[in-house]
Amino acid sequence: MFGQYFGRYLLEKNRISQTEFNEIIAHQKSSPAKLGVIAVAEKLLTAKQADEVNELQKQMDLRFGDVAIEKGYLLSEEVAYLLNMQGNPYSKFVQAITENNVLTIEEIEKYLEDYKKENGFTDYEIDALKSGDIDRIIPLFVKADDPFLCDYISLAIRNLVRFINNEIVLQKSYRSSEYTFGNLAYQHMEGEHQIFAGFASGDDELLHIAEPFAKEKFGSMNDDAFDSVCEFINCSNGLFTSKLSEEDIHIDMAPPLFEHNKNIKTSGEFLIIPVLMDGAKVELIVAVNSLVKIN
Amino acid sequence: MARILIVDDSKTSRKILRSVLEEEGHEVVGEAVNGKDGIEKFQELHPDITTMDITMPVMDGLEALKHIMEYDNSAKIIMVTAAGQKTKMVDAIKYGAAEFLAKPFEAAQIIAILNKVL
Repeated sequence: MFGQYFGRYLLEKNRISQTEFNEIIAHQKSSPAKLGVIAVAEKLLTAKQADEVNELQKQMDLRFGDVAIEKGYLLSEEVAYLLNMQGNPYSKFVQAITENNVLTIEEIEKYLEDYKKENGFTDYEIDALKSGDIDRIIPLFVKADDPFLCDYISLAIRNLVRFINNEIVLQKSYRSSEYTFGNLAYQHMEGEHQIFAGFASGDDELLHIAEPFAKEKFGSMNDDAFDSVCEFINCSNGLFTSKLSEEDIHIDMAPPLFEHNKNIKTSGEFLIIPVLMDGAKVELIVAVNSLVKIN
Repeated sequence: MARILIVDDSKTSRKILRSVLEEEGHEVVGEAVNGKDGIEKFQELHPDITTMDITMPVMDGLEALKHIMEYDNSAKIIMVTAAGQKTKMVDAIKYGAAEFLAKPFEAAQIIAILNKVL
């Protein structure tokens, strides 16, 4: 997931090409990060020390960590830490980008610093991105004060990751009382809270939800594709209302619906969260306790 | 092998259910797109088991369950729900639902529930 965020930034800044980006994403999916690469990225070894340990490892038929301890370069606690980092998305990204000779670790660090400044991220927030933990990533992009709204959006995004695409990229949320769409699948929920929730796109981008959910190719946003997006929304909202019913909060869901080329307005505000899926943008639109009209 | 009627407004859900049931050797004798349609197909087809979605337009699954159980109190109806809300589940039990199946579906879960009801 980190590669999707920082990799896209590097792509936008022309630091890497689209082909390199695709190779990096494919590479990081296919291979676990090597201990030497993580040790250099974490500044526990110099690149020269890592190369030396790699060479010795080949001759001695020992594990990288054992050789580094033997040479006095790492402590056993540091090796344990690095082993723990091995599945970390940041480590995988660094390995993918350096092994493909796209950037050096020094260049990655420099651009990561620029990325941090340009987005106003703190060290803690960058660590959250590096961890790949969606629960820590959501608050970086979604600004919602209402805890109920926060809970709803967190669950909807986790369901996107769980059922649709585990490499989604969130963009900063924004608010509006009006929204114009090409395609929209949505559902009203009523009871102790009124919720309007939908996924919209300008064109056929909603296929990035429809096809993985139905496990079927549709080609365009036809009625079957909309049915699939509607059913995903229905299932996701069902999980939310189930969770609420455990707290004795009762909300009924209306059957989900879809519309083309229209405009929605609310008496309150929509919170809109842009989500990239394989580069295609869809938007999650939510309004709580306000009237929503489709024109 | 059971003769099964699927009642669900979502074509995606009907397709997934049909595919899992047929793969297990069951016969899907019919599909209905809302509760009203479900009652009519039930009376016409007399299935061994009916899967009934709860949230549907025209007539919801709870209403349809009530009507079908009045018509045939031995009907085996599995309620399909994306919303595991306590009150709806309590109502469904009261009206005579045989079991519950949660959305989104998992093949193993569908088979386990079906075998329990058969």
